[in-house]
Amino acid sequence: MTKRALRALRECGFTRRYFLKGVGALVVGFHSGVGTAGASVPRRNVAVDQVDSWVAIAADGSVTVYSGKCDFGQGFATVQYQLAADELSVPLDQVQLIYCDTALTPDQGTTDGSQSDPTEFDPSGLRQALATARQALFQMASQLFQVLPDQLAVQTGVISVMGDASRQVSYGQLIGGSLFQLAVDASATPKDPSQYTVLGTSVPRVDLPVKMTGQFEYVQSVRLPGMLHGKVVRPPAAGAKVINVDANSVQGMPGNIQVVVKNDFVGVVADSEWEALQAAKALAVTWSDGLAVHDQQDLYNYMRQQPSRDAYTVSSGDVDAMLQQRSQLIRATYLYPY
Amino acid sequence: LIEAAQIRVLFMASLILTGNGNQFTADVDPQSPLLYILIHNLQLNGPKFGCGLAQCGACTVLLDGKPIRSCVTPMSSAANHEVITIEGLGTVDSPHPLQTAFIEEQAAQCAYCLSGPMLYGKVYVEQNPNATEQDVTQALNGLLCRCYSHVRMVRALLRDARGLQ
Repeated sequence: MTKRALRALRECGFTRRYFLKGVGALVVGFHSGVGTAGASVPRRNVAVDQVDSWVAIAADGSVTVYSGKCDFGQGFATVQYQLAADELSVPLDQVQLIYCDTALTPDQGTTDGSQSDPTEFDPSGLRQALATARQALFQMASQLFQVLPDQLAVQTGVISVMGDASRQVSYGQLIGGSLFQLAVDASATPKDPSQYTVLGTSVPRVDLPVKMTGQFEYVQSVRLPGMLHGKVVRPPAAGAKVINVDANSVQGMPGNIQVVVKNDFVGVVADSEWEALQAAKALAVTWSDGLAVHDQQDLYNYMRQQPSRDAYTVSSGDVDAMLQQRSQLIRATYLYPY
Repeated sequence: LIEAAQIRVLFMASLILTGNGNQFTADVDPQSPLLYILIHNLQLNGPKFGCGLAQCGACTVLLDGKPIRSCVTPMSSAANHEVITIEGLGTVDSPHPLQTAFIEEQAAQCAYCLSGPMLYGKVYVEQNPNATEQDVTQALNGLLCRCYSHVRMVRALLRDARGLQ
């Protein structure tokens, strides 16, 4: 579903969850089995600008956080547990994370480019929602005790009046089981990293037991009823174009083979992966010659001569000025296999 | 189809699969690699497709107790043999001692390759409980891990070997 379509739905008063239920569409959720909710999940708002989309606090004080990022094996989950534990000052074992479920988690777009953790620490991510939640909890306690928020301190999910430990209230008592009904506040201040007690420490990965016992559901493990399997038929050379595809070459092969040709893309679809693989091998495709590959001996020179768009990945200072101050200069060229 | 955690699959014939006393039938091509049957027909998540060319080890299973690459092992060769995947070793609640060692050493990042190091390693340390670090490192030769977790895997296998001594 495109962002525009989603926005249109929201403007019509549909939440995504409601829409999907309404049309009976199939909701594909990937989850690890680690701390995921059961089947009877109430309808959730998953708008990224709402605190409730990111964090829920139960009556017993346990914290559930939500991330729209997915685990493809990069193992980003544990850091989010640590982030929630630090941002809300709750023990790690009172945190659970639900992630990568389109019906339950904020739409954070794609999961790619090693950006899952950085995104959750961004102003648009989980950390800001947690900071807003903590600010709101402090305001609730402030009203309850009639003291300013800066007179309050929190430890293991219990807010107390500084210097008067008899006046204390737990997160569960303040909001347990209820919604914050609050927009994420861009001005809420996340904790300074110097205050972290869980982040930066080595804690056991929450996802490893399921991975070590073969229980984890990778994207490759997703199975849907009636799912077909596709294989791409690749050209022998880069830039080769399709001249002819002889669909008769796979006629009669098992697996209800379908041949897919779209411009210079060729593929086959079959009932099973093995059948698709066999058909992909058997399909007779005539390709044009494609692009000549440059002589490998001279490849790096050739690459240097190609047009390039230069951009900084990191720009951390005036390199030329720093080199001027050198005590010793070492010149070297490193070539990375291509 | 079946509780993955219970799998200790016994192939009575190419088309009949038995696991923990349960029998499963599958209409499969005897030439189909065992891996596809495990993944699709038995819906197991332990053995993985990595390269499909027996070059990485992600598809490793034990066939009659010996590690093999299931991506190039046809079903006809698996018939009448016992197949054990990493699901067959233990569960989250009751892991195999080797799985416990891997968890304690945090011996994976993505764990996609895990079937290879765990099953080749299991057989190796059982046969060589006095193996040195160098021995175990050598035993894992040819098993690819893109996350570079080999060092921890070797530690996990040595930890397990100490338990076996």
